[in-house]
Amino acid sequence: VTDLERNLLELRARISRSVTPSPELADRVFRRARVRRVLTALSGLVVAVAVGAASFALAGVLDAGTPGPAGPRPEEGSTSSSLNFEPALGWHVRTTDPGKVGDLEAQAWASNVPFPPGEEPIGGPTDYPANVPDKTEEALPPDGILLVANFVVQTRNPLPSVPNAPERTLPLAIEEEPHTSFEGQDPDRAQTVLDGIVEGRYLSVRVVFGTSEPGADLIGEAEEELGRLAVAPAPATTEAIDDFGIRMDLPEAWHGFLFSWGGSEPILQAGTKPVTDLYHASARRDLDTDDVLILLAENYTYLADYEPIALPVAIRTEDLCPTCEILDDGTSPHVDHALFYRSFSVDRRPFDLYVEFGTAEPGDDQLARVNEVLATLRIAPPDAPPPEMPLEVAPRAPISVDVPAGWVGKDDPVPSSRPPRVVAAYGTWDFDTGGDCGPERALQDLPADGALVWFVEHADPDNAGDYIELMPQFSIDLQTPPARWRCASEAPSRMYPFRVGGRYFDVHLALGLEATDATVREAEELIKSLRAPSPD
Amino acid sequence: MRSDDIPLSPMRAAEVPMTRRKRRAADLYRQHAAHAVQLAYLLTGDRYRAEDLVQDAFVRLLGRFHDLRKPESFPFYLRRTIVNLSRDHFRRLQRERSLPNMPTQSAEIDHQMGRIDDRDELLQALQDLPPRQRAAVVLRFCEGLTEHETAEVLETSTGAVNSLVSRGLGTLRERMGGVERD
Repeated sequence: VTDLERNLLELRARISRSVTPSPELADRVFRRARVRRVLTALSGLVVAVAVGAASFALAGVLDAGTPGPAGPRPEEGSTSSSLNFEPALGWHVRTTDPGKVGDLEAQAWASNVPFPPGEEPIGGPTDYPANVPDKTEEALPPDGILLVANFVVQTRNPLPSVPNAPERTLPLAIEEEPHTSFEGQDPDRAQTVLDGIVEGRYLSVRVVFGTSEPGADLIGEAEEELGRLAVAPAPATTEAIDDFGIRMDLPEAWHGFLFSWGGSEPILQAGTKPVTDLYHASARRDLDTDDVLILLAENYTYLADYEPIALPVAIRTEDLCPTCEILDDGTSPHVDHALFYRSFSVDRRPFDLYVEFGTAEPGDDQLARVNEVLATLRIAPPDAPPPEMPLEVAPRAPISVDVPAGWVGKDDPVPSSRPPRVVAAYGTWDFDTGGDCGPERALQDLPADGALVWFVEHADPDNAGDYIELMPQFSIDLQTPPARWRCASEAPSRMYPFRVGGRYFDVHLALGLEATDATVREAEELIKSLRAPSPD
Repeated sequence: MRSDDIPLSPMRAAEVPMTRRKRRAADLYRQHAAHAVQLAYLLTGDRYRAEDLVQDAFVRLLGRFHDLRKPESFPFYLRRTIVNLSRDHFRRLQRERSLPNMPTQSAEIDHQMGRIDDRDELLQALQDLPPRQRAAVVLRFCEGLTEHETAEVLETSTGAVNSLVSRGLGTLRERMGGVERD
């Protein structure tokens, strides 16, 4: 190992100590991921080709026989599936158990190789990840074919037009040459995707080949199986907004659409303009001065803590947010529009609420009118409590340090915080305790020449290897810049991950801008003196 | 009226709980976000830009998660995506700077937001390497990947990796003023 290589390793170690994701990053990721799911669902083929009616494909496929006209959706426990592949020699098919998932979440798979044991669509023990036959796909031989069909949008309301999903009739046909340029895909797998509105449902079919260059015969074989896909007509639709445990009563002249993209969190669009697309884009664009658009989106990012409220919810003047983007889709409101944003949770169901007016200065009467509609919002509690992020709970055991003269130490300085716990803090002044999850109260009052040291204990950190034994040679390197850490107010601090007596600590040091060298050295001695006996 | 007093469609309400996919996505984020930001920081030298890249990378991969044939390969795909995004970023930056009379937005952001490790000469020197050389050096010596693994991330041959690393280290040695002892 050369000096330069060693220096690079040291640089990496320094960065692992000083660079961590900001608290906001998780929210940004999960919000964008949701938008991305929406956009991905709408990407794909755009060539509309009518391929002739083929109702025969349905015959004998569904247990209920040839479906009649659109009727009520199958009830829970129904034995028929709304999506299936007609049995054919040499083909293996799987379909969702309607007793386990809703009719609109149906999936159907077909492959010319057997599905491995245990691989079955949603509702089974191997429905992870994202309910796809990944084992089959992985083991697909060069002449293997896999088809995965699912409904993209779930709604009880009439489906608006979808630009990238033209109306199609059965039997379906492959339209786009299979290709391999899918991010994250094995280069030895080609696939093609077919989107369309079929039998009143937004359907997507992915056809995967076990080779990067499937020949005409293989494509033809896949197309034959695609032709055996049966789709039951969509259930009768309703204008009522009552689905997913969300209900809203709309005024006479209003329009609403409550739906979910592929089983993700539901979105409600309601307003004075008709719903003409799935993106609420046209409704926003066409807002006149008297118009308004409401978007309510459940948001289980659950890394965010939304304000718990009791209904009714209302928008307030302080919710005005000109720089907000609706559903973070990259489009802020038009300059002549006003956008309000509020996040809240009801019975631990978290929601983003956006209200956009077609005028930059909506009057009180307009706000009142919207709030009247919002007052009709009803939200049912979730069937099961949403999962919590696992918390690390370190056993409570004392620590001790040598406190420099003039410094003040306090145990458990953030009593209300969730784990990992701040076990103790030491400051150059008599600081206030308290904070949401770090010593924020104290940091707000950090004197210009002051310092605050606090110890956060982790029970069993994922990155235990990053914690180094606290050595007597430890010294505070002021060349390493401070950073902003989660739960540490806005005050930048330096953080040192140390292992002491088999226990893991993030040791934070916040310095006032005018802190003297003497103060820094005192903090250093304090940290070095950390004693943490085993809780046993 | 309490919200749980309201009669709602029972079937749909039952579908509300978070799916395993979402829980798994959150777990993946928790496991890999810090490392990802650090890698992106090494590649860009800018914390804010690093987070932007990591955000994009996670969004792309979580969005495609159902396409990932081997979920256990998530770290590999994440690393590759970050490297690719950083290259795209520098290409874009190069285009911006090549346009006459166009403000170098990124440079302005750098100035406003502060490149936090300006004092770190080695990090600075890394940033001056061409993107692929920088990626190769970072992956080999900061991430500790083998030649083969680095080649997989960069989607190139091991020979090309060796060449990139050799040129990258050579430039770094020059920049670091001959402190190197082989």
